[in-house]
Amino acid sequence: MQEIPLSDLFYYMRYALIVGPVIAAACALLSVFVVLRGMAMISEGVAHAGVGGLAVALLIGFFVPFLDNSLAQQIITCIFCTITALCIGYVTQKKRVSEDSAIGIFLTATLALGILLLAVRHYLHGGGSTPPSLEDLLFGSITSVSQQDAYVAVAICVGVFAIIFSMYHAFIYTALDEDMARINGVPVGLINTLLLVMVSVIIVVSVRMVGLLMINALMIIPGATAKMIARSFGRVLVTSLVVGTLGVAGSLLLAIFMAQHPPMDKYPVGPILVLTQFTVFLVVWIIRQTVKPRVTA
Amino acid sequence: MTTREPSEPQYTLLPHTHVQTGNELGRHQGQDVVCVHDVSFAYDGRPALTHITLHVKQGNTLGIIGPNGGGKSTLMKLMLGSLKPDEGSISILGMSPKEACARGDLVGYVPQRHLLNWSFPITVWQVVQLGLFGQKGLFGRYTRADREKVETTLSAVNILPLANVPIGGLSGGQQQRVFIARALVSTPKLLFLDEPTTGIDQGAQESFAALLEAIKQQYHLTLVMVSHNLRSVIATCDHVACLNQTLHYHDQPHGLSREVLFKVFQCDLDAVLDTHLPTDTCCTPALPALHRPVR
Repeated sequence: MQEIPLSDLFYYMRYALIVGPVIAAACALLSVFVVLRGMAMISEGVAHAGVGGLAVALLIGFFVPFLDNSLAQQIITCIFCTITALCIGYVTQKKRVSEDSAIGIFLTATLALGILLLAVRHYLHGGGSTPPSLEDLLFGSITSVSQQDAYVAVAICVGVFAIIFSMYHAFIYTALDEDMARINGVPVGLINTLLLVMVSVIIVVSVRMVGLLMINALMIIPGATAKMIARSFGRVLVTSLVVGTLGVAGSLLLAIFMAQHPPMDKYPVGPILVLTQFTVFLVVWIIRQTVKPRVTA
Repeated sequence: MTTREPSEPQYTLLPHTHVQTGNELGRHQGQDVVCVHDVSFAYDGRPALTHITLHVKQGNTLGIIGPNGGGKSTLMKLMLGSLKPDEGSISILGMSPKEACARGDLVGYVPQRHLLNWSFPITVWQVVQLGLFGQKGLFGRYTRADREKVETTLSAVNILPLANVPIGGLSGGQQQRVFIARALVSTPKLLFLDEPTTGIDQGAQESFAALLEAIKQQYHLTLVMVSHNLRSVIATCDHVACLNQTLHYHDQPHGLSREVLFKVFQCDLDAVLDTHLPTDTCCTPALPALHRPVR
């Protein structure tokens, strides 16, 4: 088989090379708050709710042709995921159901709803978008991202950065001590809602890139890695951004290399992105165990 | 919600005691920093506080003591506006608790140490700076003047050398000072402290009491302190409120009797006295009625 020229590969992957690091940066920024606030399982629940949201979007698109396009599907999925996240938060707040139980309940229920509705959509004949394959859903397909996806990714990333940095101290205070923040006048409800909305939006956009099963890695590993080595909050943010962004960029370059060397060109890219991040985490963890921390107080 | 218990007065009436009737509440509100008037509160139908009335004058230190589950923390949450009373009203400097806290420069709060995530990657300076949030607002940025305030406050509580240290690397006493600095940086008029001496050793407790007195003078503060530590409350407070769902006593520490303590703590008084009173009680003129030789 004829080897694909490198320039062709870069051209073919040009949108992926934009979308990947951009989304990784947004994920890495949110990852710090997800990790510090113990929201890792909530983001997992939201990711699984994405299946339900996508199925609902596809069904709506079948009956309402105006909403049968990629952008509308993403918006409907985001709304579905945000509602799921808010429901988890509301049920947990009442204290009759623990957080992990609530997440497990909503995760499985929305996933089951999504699989059922996708089956219904599959058997509906006529027009409408083709539902994604199960493999694409679970493992992602970053090579299929389009120019529109790139615009959406950049816009979302800019939005996430703008929201976080405009209310920077409110987000930190809420993450550090929610009760104290509320007493000091921080609109904790607004901050929590914004965080859930941003997590939902980023997950929906990222699922196409790395897949449902892997997205939580982008939302957890950069923040967890940064927390091990940085002592101040600002440095945690910067470290998380470096780990997340460079990790994904490096993985995409590795994917381009593999595309030129069969049979590696058949390997899915999503797991490579995750394993690269995990390798960085593991190396940092090992170094952290062996290097003594400096005496502080 | 329970009905008021008949007959027994809620606290000892002495000439200087604050008047508790509703029609005189308005006259005293101008002088009092904290006015709690006939407040009751229940969690899901379980009474936590019943008909509590107390007032705290400007410049005073009130210690609230009582057994676990007696309603001390609930009363503090009500005074901070985190909870709303089912009955009665609370006024902080003439405003509702929420309004007073939202102002950002009236009320400071030192929470219990164990409630914070001490592994959070944040330095002492950053934690104290967060205490200015109420004055800066959601989109506010810190200025040079704010940095000077933080530096001054860190000096006042003697932890300026630790400014760039992550909070996870501090001792218990140092952590407590960070909390105090965070509460003081906004130069409040009223400071609430929730179990401030829990988890710190005897030496640190003594230096904490000295620090509290120093900052009270420097910042002209009124203090309200919740504690289960009788020793520290008696040593540092002008007035004591004994709370166990109802207010059993609200006056100066020297008027505290064994009978009141037994009613409040509902347990063997020897255990309370031996654990919490200073060993040289016989030399402490404030507590002659409670003297019992240490075994």
